[in-house]
Amino acid sequence: MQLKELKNKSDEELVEIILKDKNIFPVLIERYQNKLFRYIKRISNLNNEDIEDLLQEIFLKVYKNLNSFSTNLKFSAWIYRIAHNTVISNYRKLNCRPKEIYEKDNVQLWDKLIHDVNIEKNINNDFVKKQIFKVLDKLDCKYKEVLILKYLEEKDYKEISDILKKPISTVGTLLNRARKQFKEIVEKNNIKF
Amino acid sequence: MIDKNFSKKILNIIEEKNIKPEPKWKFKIKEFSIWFLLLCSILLGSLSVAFILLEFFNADWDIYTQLTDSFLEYFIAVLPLFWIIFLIFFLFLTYFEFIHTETGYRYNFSKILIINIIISIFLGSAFYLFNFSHYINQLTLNYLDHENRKYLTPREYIWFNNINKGLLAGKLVKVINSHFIKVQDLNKEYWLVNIDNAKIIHPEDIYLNSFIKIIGDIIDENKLRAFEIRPWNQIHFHIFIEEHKSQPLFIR
Repeated sequence: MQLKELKNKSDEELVEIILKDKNIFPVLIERYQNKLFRYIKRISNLNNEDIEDLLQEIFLKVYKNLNSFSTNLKFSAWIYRIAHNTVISNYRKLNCRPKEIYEKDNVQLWDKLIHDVNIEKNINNDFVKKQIFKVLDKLDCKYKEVLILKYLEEKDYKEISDILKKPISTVGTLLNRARKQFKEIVEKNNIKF
Repeated sequence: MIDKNFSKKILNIIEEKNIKPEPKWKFKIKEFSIWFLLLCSILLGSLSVAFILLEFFNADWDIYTQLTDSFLEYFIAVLPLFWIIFLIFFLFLTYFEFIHTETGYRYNFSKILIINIIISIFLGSAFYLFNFSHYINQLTLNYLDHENRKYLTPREYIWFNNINKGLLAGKLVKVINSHFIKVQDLNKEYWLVNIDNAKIIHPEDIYLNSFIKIIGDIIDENKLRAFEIRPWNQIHFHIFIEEHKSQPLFIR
């Protein structure tokens, strides 16, 4: 099969093909390697080398467990779940507070959050980025996790539910509490955007 | 960001280490096991409901004043605590197993618990009405000693301890004639019981080797004059009880 044809296949179709021919697996890896790299960077304090090692472990797990994937959920939710669980289980005492904000994050992605918590923002994006970092640093890990999935990874409630293996109602509650805590931190610390 | 040959590196590792996807049947077995355990938990939870119903509907609410000093004392004495704890345990175990099914995590705790309680009550009622709990109760009365039974059937304890008040519970082992029956009490001792003046409650539920409760007067050592005889458990849908294919013992 031509590479172009493969790149047009859905994730679920690719899984079926990979199970018959492992040489197609790199197509799926290339589809997700950057996304998962960014995701791990956002939820951990690992350096690039460690993230790459972890990604290797994640993709090997994905390959071994391909037969457990079911179309009851989206493939992206399934692979994010494996990534999330691998990060948590490998680094149990992981400090979920990164030393620095991920530079490639587009601050526009955080606009929606700032809008959702009714905070006024000025137009200086670098400044906004630094302020966001200040707030994130103070958030509980479980709230930071859902904010990242919702606003940076742009996952919907159902996908977040499938990634974290929590009921959709719980995801909604976590997001509400996360936004509330975000706003409280902003107000308490007199942080300006 | 990532090494451009990263994907090829993964493929090389897969080939070098001969890594293969786990076979589908392994995941199917795991899924089947979870569902099997889930079903067992639901059934055991339902069985405990059946026993709670058995204890509740066969307690002697109408004669509690003869058994204890107050209604509250009687209620506490017959409360089937073991079965209630058993039920709560299996309700939580069912929840835990359900959230480990493929999509069970999508449902919140209260929804799962409510549905589980409804299923347990429905199935438990069916088990009770079709006499499963009665049958198991009879087995425990026959084969377990009192010490091992007292948590399973708390109402037995009151009868066990009140023989001097003329309260005798035991197995009907023989109908000697129309005046006397022979009963083996819960302590495995034999009693001769005069039934001339006895009122029989639910005679259709009393058969040879069934357990009964007798209210009467002790007239001599191991001899009792009965005023009332009632079955240990009421039986529903008699077609499932083999003994009921024969004539009822007491025809008045």
